[in-house]
Amino acid sequence: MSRKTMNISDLAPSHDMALNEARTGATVPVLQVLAFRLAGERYALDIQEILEILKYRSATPIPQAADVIHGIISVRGRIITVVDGRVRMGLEAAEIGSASRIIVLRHGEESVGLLVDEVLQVEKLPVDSIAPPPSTLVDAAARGISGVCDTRQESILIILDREAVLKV
Amino acid sequence: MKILVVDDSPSTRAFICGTVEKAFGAEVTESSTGFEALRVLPGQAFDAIIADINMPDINGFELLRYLKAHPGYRAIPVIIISTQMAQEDRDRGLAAGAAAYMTKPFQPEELEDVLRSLVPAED
Amino acid sequence: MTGREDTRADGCEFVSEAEDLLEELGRELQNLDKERRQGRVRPQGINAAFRHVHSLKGLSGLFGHDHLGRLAHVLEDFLDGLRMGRHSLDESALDILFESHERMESMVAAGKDAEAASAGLLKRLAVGQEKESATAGSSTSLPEDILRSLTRYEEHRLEANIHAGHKLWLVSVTLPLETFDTDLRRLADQLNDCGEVISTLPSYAANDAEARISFRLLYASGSPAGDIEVRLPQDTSLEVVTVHESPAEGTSVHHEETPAETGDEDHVFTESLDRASVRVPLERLDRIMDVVGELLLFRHRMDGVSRELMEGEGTHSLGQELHRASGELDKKLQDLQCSVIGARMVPVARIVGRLKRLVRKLARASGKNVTLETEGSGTELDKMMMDHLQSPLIHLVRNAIHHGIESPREREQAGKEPTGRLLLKAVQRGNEVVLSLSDDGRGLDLEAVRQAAVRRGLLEEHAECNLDVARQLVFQAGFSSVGQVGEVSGRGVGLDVVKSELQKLGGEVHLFSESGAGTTVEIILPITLAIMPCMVVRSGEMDFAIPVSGISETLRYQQERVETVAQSPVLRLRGETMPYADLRELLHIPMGEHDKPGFIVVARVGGGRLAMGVDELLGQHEVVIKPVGSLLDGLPGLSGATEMGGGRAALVLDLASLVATPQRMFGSTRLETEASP
Repeated sequence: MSRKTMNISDLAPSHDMALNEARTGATVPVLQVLAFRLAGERYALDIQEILEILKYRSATPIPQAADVIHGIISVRGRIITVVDGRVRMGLEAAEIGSASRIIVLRHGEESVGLLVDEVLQVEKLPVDSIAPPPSTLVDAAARGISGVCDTRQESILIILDREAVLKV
Repeated sequence: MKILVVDDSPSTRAFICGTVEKAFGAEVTESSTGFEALRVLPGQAFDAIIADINMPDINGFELLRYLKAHPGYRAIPVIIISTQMAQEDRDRGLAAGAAAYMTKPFQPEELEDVLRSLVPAED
Repeated sequence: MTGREDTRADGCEFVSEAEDLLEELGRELQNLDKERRQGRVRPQGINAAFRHVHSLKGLSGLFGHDHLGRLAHVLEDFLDGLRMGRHSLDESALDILFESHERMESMVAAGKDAEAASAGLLKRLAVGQEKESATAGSSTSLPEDILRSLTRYEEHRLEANIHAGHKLWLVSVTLPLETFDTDLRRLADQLNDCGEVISTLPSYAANDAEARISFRLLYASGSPAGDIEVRLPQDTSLEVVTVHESPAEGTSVHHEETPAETGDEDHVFTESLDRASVRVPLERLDRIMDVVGELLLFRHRMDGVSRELMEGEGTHSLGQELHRASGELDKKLQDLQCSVIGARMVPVARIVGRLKRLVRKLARASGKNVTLETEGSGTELDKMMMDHLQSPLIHLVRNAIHHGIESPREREQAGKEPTGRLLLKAVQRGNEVVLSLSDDGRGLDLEAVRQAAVRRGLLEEHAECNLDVARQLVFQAGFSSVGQVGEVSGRGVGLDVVKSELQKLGGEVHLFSESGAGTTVEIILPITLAIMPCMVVRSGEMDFAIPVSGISETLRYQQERVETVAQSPVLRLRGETMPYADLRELLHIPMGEHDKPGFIVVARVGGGRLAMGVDELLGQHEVVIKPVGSLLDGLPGLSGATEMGGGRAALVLDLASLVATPQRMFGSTRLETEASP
């Protein structure tokens, strides 16, 4: 029953927050987020909320459950509900590929999985670089979007609020 | 150092055991009642016995009486512990042959000092 | 003593020890309450309560729980006043004791952040602390060493017994070292039945053989009943000397050389809670249970491999050997599973104490006389089950006292005893435990139920409401809702909530009522939630587990067995007609490759039966049922999930909730789900 688990710290740049502050000389707090991809767009969640990242494994679908529920999986004897990240963001249902991952999040006393297309990397965002969701973003609050950040890489990074995202 | 602790409260026992294990590296035997103590006594050479007064089955004084009447156990110093409320128990305990009397709550250092004065260092 | 990091103390230890003490204190208070009503309060009971509170005080000090420590301190003084005879144990003293106990329970639950006890409570506890009467010099001919080994309390008891004109004896007994503690406790219990053992002094005599130990017991009794029978094991000596005569006539102690018989149920229970037991956090047992479950899965995989080997060329004997080994492993694993399940079991008596205190409180508040009796309180249930059972039971007790049991006057008018009777009965029946709570009150008020149902639109304006209809109505969701509890004037208030709570545990509820004679609510629960034998079925390419306890039979699908009645499919089976549906349709899952099911599973649901078509039967497995997360809460038909190996999960079906929405599932066919008595 061996499973591949990735350690979040493997993805993170090698220096920690304090070092980063020392180098920039700034005292602006930094939010560490895990960036991931959903249907071409870049999203992020606070890494403090993330328990682990799993390679995709086939989930058991739940009859009569809402579309946003991808299914359940068993992780080390615990049953975890997996939420389809794409459906949650109002996109079409996920296509499973070799890069598909399940991000396991804390959810009260339990754990919940978020199915994403691809996990990118850990980014450190100075909190003053995070802007509230622009009005052009449809249903931002309902989708659990708490802010956006222009990291000057490809597309804008959409930052999600764990609690709001899991309110399905 | 071998110590017998007799008290019906597991947490008090834990406190005392923790203290004497840490301070003296003592080997501690725990009994939750006087009956249990009577059962573990034969065949073991304890350097000191620490006993509560208010216990089910038999009380600390009664245990003390027995120990002081028994030629095999007579020489073991016994520390009686009780609460503030029962100050007058002190006289009764000392009269029955207790080596020391301590009032709860006490600090680990106090117990260490009392034990150090009663049990000669091994080397 | 302060809570220092270098001691072995931690919060977890505090809570479990404090809970133990409070549980014992609660039981002691319960006994005192009972004894007071019978007019015979044992001083030993008060002393035991005192000792529990004393220990609790020490414990609080040790862990720095100041508020609890303060309350325990004041309560200890209060109890000391009671045991030293400074004030007497009357109704109001008991009220204060019960209130303090309840307060301490909530303080322990809240941890160190708990709020301090109210000044009012502390003030009431502080009464009666006047000077203790000086102990008069004793006029008895007691041995000096015994007199001088008495605690202040024992001295007081000695004085009190002499004052009451009781006779005193010195009972000397020599017992084998091997068994002296149980022997002596048994002897003391017997003596305490008709008197009081004041002191137990172990004595050393030079001629004592190594393997024996002597004791002298100071015993007082005013028993006019005559002879006191004492049973002692063989090989013991007993000598009785009268040390203080009362003016009363002589009483003698008999000595019989027969082993003591086992006590009644409650005694057995007390022993099972003694210090020889260990408290283990439930999560640890859960973890062991999970591992056992996983091992069972490996075992299944081994079985598969052995079968392949047996079929393969040249590997047949190897396969057979593996198959045998796997069978042995299976036996051991099942043993292990049984032991773990056993370790999780707690007796129903665990919650009885709390219920009794609740009964007392509610009865006092409503001016009714109510007693709670129990039968079979030694019956065991899974700890988790027991924890979840508490709030439904509290609900039912509330209902019974508020709405079932009448006021003493009403009862007398109806020709009943003025004291209402609640009976909590527990009995194990196969893999189930049946708990029932009965009252001898006025029974279900059909008219009140009818009116409430009409108001909530559950019943037509002028519809009839007989007992059968009422029994179904009170369980229907929405029959009662918060804020209307008073209005309905009960007769089943909140039973829908109780029902849904119990369904989550895989249980059922039934209600029986007789007008004027009382109401009984019966709860049927599986003994353990965690591991259950299940039939695994495949339907539409998905696997589902169905608890075997809910299946009455399985048969091959034959088209001609299924007919259509009033546009709904039914199955005819040996003259019985029951609703039929393909599981794929029931669950709205894709049909997959089979257009016709291969098998039919006939399930028992409530009192009715339901036939389901499935593609395949995959066999019976012991499955570890785990909760599905909160995101899937409320999905009908689902009671949990289980691991099927290879990280795959299968759903465990809850048939009762699947058919709880029969309109949706079966169109116009009505499904009988209500049990008959």
